[in-house]
Amino acid sequence: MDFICLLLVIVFWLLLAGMAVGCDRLKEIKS
Amino acid sequence: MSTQAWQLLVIYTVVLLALSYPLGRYIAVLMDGRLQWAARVESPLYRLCGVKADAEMGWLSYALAILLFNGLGVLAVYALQRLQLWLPLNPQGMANVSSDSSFNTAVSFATNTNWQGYVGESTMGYLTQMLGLTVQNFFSAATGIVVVIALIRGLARHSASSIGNAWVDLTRITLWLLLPLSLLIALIEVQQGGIQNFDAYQEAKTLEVVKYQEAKNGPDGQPMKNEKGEPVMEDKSTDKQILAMGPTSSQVAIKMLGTNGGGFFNANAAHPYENPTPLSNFVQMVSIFLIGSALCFTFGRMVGDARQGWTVWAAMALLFAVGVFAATHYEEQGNPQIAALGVDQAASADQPGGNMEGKEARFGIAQSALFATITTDASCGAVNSMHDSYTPLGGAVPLVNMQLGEVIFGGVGTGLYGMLVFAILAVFIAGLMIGRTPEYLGKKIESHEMKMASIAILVTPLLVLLGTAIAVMADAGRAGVANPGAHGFSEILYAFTSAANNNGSAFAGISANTPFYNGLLAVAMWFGRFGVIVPVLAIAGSLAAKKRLAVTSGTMPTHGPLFIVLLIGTVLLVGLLNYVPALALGPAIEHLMLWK
Repeated sequence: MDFICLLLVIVFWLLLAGMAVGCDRLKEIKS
Repeated sequence: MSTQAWQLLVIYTVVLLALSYPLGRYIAVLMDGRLQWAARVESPLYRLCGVKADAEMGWLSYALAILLFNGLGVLAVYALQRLQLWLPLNPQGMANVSSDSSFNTAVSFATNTNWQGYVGESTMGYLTQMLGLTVQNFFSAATGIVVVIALIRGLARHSASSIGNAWVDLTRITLWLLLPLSLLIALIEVQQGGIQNFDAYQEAKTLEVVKYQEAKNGPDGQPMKNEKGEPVMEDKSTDKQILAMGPTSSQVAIKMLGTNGGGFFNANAAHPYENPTPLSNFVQMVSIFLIGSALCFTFGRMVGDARQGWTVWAAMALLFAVGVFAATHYEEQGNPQIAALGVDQAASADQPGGNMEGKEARFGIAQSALFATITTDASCGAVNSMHDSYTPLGGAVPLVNMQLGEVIFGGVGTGLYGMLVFAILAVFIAGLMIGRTPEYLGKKIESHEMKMASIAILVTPLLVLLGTAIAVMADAGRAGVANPGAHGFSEILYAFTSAANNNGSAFAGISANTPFYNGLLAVAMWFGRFGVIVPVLAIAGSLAAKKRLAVTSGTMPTHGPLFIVLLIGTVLLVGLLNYVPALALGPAIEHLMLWK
């Protein structure tokens, strides 16, 4: 269960990091 | 609303304004790096951590630094809870916390939510409370503040590629704003009778034997249920009372100041050790709004136009006053079903009157309703009365306050950046109406900013409504509801509203310390926090890079009464309309049933 929680934290973090990179790319595509 | 409640509201607002105005100017000076003595103390810290204080970051680096910082915070709090039995400062020998509860609490405190599925005094050792929860109270508050400072820099700068250095900003806010103010408030708390010790819990003998019933727990630690699904109760009696101890006041100070809200004890600010006197109650209420209010003036100062800060402050203050009026009014009305039993609910010299269920007699209606409004206007979530026991429309006020996005002074930093996103939306709507390219503070608002603003505004309602829908459809979700019908629905709606908006208060009739709620609410808290922070920082980066346009006769002024009305209208329309159907199923139906 601890492993699943650790995995969830990593997945959550990666999703948000991906969202941030996506937002940045969106700006570049526009320009 | 009674005269006493009006007086309290006026005095509160005057004191808040008097304290927050100079504080706002101080924050502007601090974040501009103009405190030389502070820089001298900071520089060894930066060298130790390998931080290049002069190197500024673009918005993406800033966002990733914030995410990394808070991700590590989650892991630290999780580990402390899972290992606390073997760690020092645990005189009661509290067991290690279950993994799902640890996960929920770790995410909760790292996101400034402080939703508490656990009972503090019977779950957490002192080290976990201090090193885990209190430290996160500081860091999560600092996170909110630095994000809004970055957004303000985005508005204030032009043709720039950076919005500041996240590590430097976090250090400055923690060291020179949160720590000194927390120390001051903690000392006031202790002076008023709040406790601050590492003692083992004290045992006291009660004056009479108390008989009561308690839900029986199974081997898994969860309440047992009979074949009808009702909790299995067992009769108990006692003439002893255990008085929980601990380093409470130091945690109370930052939980209020940082709009965290997680209580040392389960009863939170209704507990006499956490909130001993009317003065401590007043200080705590002021603490909740202090930084949120001050940041409005910081904003005005940093963008070089104090009127902009006053405009946002005025919009917030008006919405706040309406909320206090509504909550106090409905609670003073009392409960017609109790009135039908012949109970006197009229205010008199002997009693505050109205609906006193779930409220402290020492606080009465006025101080309870004011506290409830403040704590949900902000993302605090500390409570000095039980919101679940409010009248349907009185309880709808905290619910609506959160659903508006907690932009009424709001959480530290989060309130102002939420309001600034609404301001961007307001100038966009006004631009459409008058046929001009929208501008805010000389910056053109274009499609990228609007996409980011839309994400920031829509993430939270999506999490709230989707989470509520899943919970009411799932057996595990309905199992946690103690009150059937409309109120039960309100309890679930409140839980997800509170989690996704990072408030942390609850309609506490819901039993949420289950793997289902611990997991789902953690998702709501995490994405409700950082799913908004990321697009807000993207807006900051985008605005910083733009040129500043000169003010012309065609520029729509973003200060003054007209813009205040436009801003309030945008907040109410966009913020609230998402939730009207859900509110109709909960508080509205319950109100009609109560007053039929």
